[in-house]
Amino acid sequence: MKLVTYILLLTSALLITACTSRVHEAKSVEALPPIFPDYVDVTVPAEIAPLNFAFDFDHEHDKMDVVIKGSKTGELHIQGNYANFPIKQWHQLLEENRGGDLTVTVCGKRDGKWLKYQDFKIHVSADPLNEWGLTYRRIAPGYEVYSKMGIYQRDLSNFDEFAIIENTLTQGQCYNCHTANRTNPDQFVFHVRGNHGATMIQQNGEHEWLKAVNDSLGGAMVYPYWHPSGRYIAFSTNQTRQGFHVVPDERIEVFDLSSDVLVYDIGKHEILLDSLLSRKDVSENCPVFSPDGRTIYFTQCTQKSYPLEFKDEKYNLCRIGFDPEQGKIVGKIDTLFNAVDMGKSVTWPKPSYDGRFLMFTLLDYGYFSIWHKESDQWLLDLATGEAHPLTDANSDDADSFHNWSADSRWFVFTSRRGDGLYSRLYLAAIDENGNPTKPFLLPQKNPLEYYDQTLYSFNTPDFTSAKVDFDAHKAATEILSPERIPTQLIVNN
Amino acid sequence: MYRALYALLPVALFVGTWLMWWLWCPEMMNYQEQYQLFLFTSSYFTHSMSVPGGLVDYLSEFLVQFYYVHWIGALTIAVVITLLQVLSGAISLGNCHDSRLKLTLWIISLGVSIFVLHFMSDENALLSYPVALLLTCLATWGMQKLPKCSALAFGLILVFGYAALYWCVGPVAMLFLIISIMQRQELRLKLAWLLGGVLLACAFTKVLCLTLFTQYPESQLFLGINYYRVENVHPTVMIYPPLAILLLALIPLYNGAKAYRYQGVRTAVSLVFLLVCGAALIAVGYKDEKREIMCYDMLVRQGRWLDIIDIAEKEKPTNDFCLQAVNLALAKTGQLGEKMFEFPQHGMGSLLSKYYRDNTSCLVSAEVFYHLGMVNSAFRYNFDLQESIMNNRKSGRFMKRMAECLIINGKYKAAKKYIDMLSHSLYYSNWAREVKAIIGNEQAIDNHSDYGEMRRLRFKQELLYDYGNLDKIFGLLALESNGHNRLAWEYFNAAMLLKGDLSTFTGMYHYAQEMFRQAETPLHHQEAIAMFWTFGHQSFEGLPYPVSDGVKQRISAFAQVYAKNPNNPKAWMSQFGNTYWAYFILNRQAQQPETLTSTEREG
Repeated sequence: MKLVTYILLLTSALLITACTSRVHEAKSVEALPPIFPDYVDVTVPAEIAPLNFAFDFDHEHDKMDVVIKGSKTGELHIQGNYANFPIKQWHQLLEENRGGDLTVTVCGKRDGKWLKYQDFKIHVSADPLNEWGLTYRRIAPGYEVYSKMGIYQRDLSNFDEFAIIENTLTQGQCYNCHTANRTNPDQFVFHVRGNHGATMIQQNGEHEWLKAVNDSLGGAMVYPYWHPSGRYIAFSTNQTRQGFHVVPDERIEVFDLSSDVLVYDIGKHEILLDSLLSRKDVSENCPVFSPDGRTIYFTQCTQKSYPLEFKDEKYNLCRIGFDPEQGKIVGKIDTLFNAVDMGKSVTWPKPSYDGRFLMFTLLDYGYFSIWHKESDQWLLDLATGEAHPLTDANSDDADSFHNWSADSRWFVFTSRRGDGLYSRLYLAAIDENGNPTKPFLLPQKNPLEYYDQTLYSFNTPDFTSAKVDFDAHKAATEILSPERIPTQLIVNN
Repeated sequence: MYRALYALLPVALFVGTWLMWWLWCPEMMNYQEQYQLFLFTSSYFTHSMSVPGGLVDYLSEFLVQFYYVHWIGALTIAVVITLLQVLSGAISLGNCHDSRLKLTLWIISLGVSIFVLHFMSDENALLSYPVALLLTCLATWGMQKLPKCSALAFGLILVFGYAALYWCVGPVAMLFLIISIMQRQELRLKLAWLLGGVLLACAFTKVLCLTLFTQYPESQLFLGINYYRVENVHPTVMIYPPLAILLLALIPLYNGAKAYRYQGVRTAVSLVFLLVCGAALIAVGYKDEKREIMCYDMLVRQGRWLDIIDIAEKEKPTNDFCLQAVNLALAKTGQLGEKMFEFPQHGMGSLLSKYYRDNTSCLVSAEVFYHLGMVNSAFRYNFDLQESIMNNRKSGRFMKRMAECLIINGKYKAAKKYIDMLSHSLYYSNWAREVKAIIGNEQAIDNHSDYGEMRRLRFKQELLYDYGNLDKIFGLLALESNGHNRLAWEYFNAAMLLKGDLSTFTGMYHYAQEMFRQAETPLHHQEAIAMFWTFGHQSFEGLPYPVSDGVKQRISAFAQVYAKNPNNPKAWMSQFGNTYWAYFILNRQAQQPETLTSTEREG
């Protein structure tokens, strides 16, 4: 019996050694390795989960051998069907090489022979990622219905994903617009659509369920953004419709028959609507507060007749003052970026939390950039007023909805560059001059299989500084109950 | 003879069930198959196994994929139904110590299968439930065969067995717990055991709710996540099969002496009773109007246009779903203008459905879009149909069609995603392999008999879909194709007739002659032209359109009858009910369907 045990142990040891033995004789290939995801020359935080990758489907190999060497110290060697780095060693290597580079050597075995591809680098940023992870919604990129969907959170240091709330709990309802206050999960808001609709505000573990629609306002409060004090939330209220294209390169068009910008006072349950931000001849949309809480950035478009003039729905980026002490809109509307003059449209303005930049999405028309292949990320320097496209981060497909890390050194956004239909999450660093690095796809344990097999789009991503604490069962009971807090509309003329 | 019944009964049940589903219910199998996509991948298995009842979901979805080929699908149902009878009977017989009662119990076990067959007549009934019952019976039967052991050992086996079984089959495992306790002869204080067992099982479920399954309502963990397609719905008929199994198992433990006599009579009576009641129950369950819809849907999916017309001529369809199928079949066989008013049309809804947020209403419309070359709309309807599947499953049928639309539109990366998935299925993998070979090859796709043709038929001019202007959309599609898209032209004409827009219809007639080289004017088109002419003329003299003498004479006859009985359709419907004139008169007020819908958007 003992003999058998020894033989088994010896065989296992030999097998393990054989599996991870170095590649000695490999034919050099004058090309970068055809890997998925494309992690060549990306910049990552040292805290990021292992950037596992595989040969893409068009370049399948029998085996992959990867050696990663740190520019300062350390080395990692793995061999297998795909590059599956052990989490602990990965973090150790990145921590040791913070501010340095990792040189990645990839060999692939095909037909019994090894091929050695050109080395590439992964840059480890000196800037830490001061965030626990991401929150996002996963939903099929459908038209009018959705099956299973939910709001999730993901630990960025590993591959753990947790559901915050899924619609399996509440008879297939839709949740959207999950937004935390400056990545702090102690304060967040989301909206529930449908029969049991509501706007949920959680503060320090307590839920408030507001009536989904204020009758005087005539619509729901959407696209929220927290005031830095946590006292207000800016919303827009939109009479949204969608149309469906019949030509191959287009799919869905979203337009608003009307939209206004408002500020919700959480403590008083009051909706503050100012005549400057609720004009009938103009659509105001996508409001956000500046980091000092004294300015509201928003987009504005001359109201057209939709769907006929859907291509003329073009928004400028504007701003107006806000007095947080009085809870009032102050001053006049100032156009910050005139996209209409360029024949374009602005959507999703998001200022960096240090107040230096404002990132927005630019598209040909409309504001629902996820359905616009041409949509790109742009950066406005709030000090100089100059804007430029984030060329290194943009792609040929829809690059859209973005958010900043609390230290304004990282941003996350959605992109359809993968397959043109399902949006995925990309992260990138940005320096003090507003130059982005090449974005990298949100890591997954087996990314090729994961992204190939998932039938969900990721959207409305944001960083979260800690894990969101949310009692889904309690929330479901509250969603299904008729109890809602009414809101009062205060109109300022 | 009695002994033979032990074998004859399951054999008869097997053959009967097989033939019934194969020959009588193929459309029900088609319906079930299209709402799931079983994949031979490890992630599919692990995903299935991640919820209580996951194993039976996995097994049942594995079996349901065979519904694609009806005779094999029916065979799998017959196997499940028969095994259920055999096992429930075996459990009962295992508890019966009087051979004279055994045959009666064996016959009564037929009832379990009959109840399950009745349950399966519901279009949302999933095979998971019968499979869960089957595995529970198997485990219970196994417990019966367990040798005598101490109460502690029995308790441990029961607890761990229940936990494992609950994870595999869901809450039906409670049956295992109850029967296992009740049938244990040496067990004392059975009621205390029973109470303790049930409480422990409930506590186990509650713990699962609070820990692993915080995203599911408690009711689903107690009543089953995936026995029925509609979330949180558990029809009453679901209680009958487990109740029958329970009674069958318990009766022999508590039977009285009277039941021992008259074996022959008892056997005959129970057999006749079960057969009569079972037949009635099945007849009631399966006689459902929904099957008509399922039947038309199946025929459309299979492209059996002549069969559709044949069925419609035997029994005229009354709802728009079936009429859409009939109109598509007529159009595909070039008979829409010739025959459509032989069927009771209801306006534009009889050609195409506006969007409904369920998993059935738009099945035919999605196909109509595809055949017309409205590729984006076909993709949209198929995508949302798939998203409407109430238990969040995906669909091989819809996914294949979506992939085809993406190929036609040259969106190869997205198409490849679906094709990769379908290549892991049983019945869609051949197709996936075929298209994988040509994907990205523009020339090959242009030359493909279907996809190349669709590329030539589809829209070239940008516009937003608008259900309220379907006639214009059809017209544009037909004219853009420069005479190539005859189906769009047929739909354009049909839409104008259904709207009662005779002015445009007559005005467009010459286009038809030039562009579509129409050799003969279809009957209903002649009727419409003749009618329009009579609005402004006293006679047919000078009529510049080819209207036959027969039509002219008939419209004169119609005018006379109608003039005498304008408010009494019965007077002219019998003679002229199959003409456009009858439709026109009865539907003067053209329907104005809704236009753009309010949104559900992806952010």
